[in-house]
Amino acid sequence: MANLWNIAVSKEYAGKNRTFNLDVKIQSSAERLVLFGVSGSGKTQLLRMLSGLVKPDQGSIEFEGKTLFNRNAAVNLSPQERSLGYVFQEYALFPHLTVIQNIAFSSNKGWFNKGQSFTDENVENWLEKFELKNLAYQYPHQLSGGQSQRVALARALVCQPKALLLDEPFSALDDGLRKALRMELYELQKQLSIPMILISHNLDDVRSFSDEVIQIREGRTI
Amino acid sequence: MDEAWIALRLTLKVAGVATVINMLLGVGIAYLFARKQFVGKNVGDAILTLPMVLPPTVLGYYLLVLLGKHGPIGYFLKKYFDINLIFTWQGAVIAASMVSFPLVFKAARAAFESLEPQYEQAARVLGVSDAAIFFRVTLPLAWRGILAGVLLSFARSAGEFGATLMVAGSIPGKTQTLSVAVYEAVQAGQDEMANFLVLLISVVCMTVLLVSGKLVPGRVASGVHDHG
Repeated sequence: MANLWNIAVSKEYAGKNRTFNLDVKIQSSAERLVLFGVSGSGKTQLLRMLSGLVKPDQGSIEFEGKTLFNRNAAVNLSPQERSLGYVFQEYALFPHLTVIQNIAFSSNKGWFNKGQSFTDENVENWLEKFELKNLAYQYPHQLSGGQSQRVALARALVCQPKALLLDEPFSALDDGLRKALRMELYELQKQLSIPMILISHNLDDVRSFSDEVIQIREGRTI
Repeated sequence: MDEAWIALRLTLKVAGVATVINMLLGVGIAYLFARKQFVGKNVGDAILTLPMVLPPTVLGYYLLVLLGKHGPIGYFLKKYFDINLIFTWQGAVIAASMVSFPLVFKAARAAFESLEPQYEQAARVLGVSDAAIFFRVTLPLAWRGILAGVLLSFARSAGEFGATLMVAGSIPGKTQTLSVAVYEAVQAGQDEMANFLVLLISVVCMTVLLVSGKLVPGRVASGVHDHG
């Protein structure tokens, strides 16, 4: 069977005093893949390359047999074309929009944001699923860490992405909540059977979530 | 005193149109400078900022050379569209918008550059087009900073003197704005008139500054870096 992910990318980051080389090769069919490494090892940069936010210098990225990026074939799908969900480390909820507007963001492709009062069955379902109905008209700065994470997840999932990329999704949470939300994410993955790549520097995340772990150190997979 | 009110009306018209032009051009160009990399960006920035430091009379002279009968733009406009901009209120608009352009450009660029990039990135990953992201994410998060620049540009346009005088002259009721009328009144020894005009323009500019002071970027949930 073909791999879910075929990734071989490299990129050079030239700073003033040091040059950082990211050179990663991953072939994996894990539905819950964890990229593990200390901060600064290049995990987030790799996730950004997968999502299309950062362009690698060399290499290729394939997902489910589809080429997302290939330097030699001059293929580079935009983030919009890749249909991958992305949950940012600090969640990046739009501060000027309410919870329901955040979640419905991708269901409206027009040039202007929808007002507060609209009905969208898909959005309603996600609000219910993540127990966010009571918070629908709150703004992101009024939410707790755990609530923000649920909104970010719902926002990413509402457009039915083919895979979900999560950048340190638990790092902003305290230990108790971390454990609970880890379980929740695990259950969610089982339920939706959507492939996930999660990056973390926490060993507990690795143990309780992954079915494959890839360690990244100084920009290289080991 | 009728002349004073006529001059005020003309000033507001000139400053208003100049501000709308600056809002469209300044915000658009500032967005390009904040988000895109291109050759000559630093030189471009310097040229666009130049009106802030050059004497308005020098700018007025540039405009005269460009827009005058024998200037490249003036000749073209006259020949193909039968348009003459020198000594018209439209000429005053061009002078005012040129002088105050950097105020919108600088403010808008700073507002765009201080936005956390992750909001636009999040929107891209969510499948929304780049044009829609500008209107749905970028502008709503940057509008306070932009508006402060737009209001300053209005105040600056309303007070424009040097470039306006050179390009549009001082035709009462047609191109004589408040600041030019003040000069004329003083020259003619009409102290009472000068006093009234000065008071009028001070009130207009003060009002704009007070409003813009209220709108300077706040810290609450604006999506802007806190450099404090």
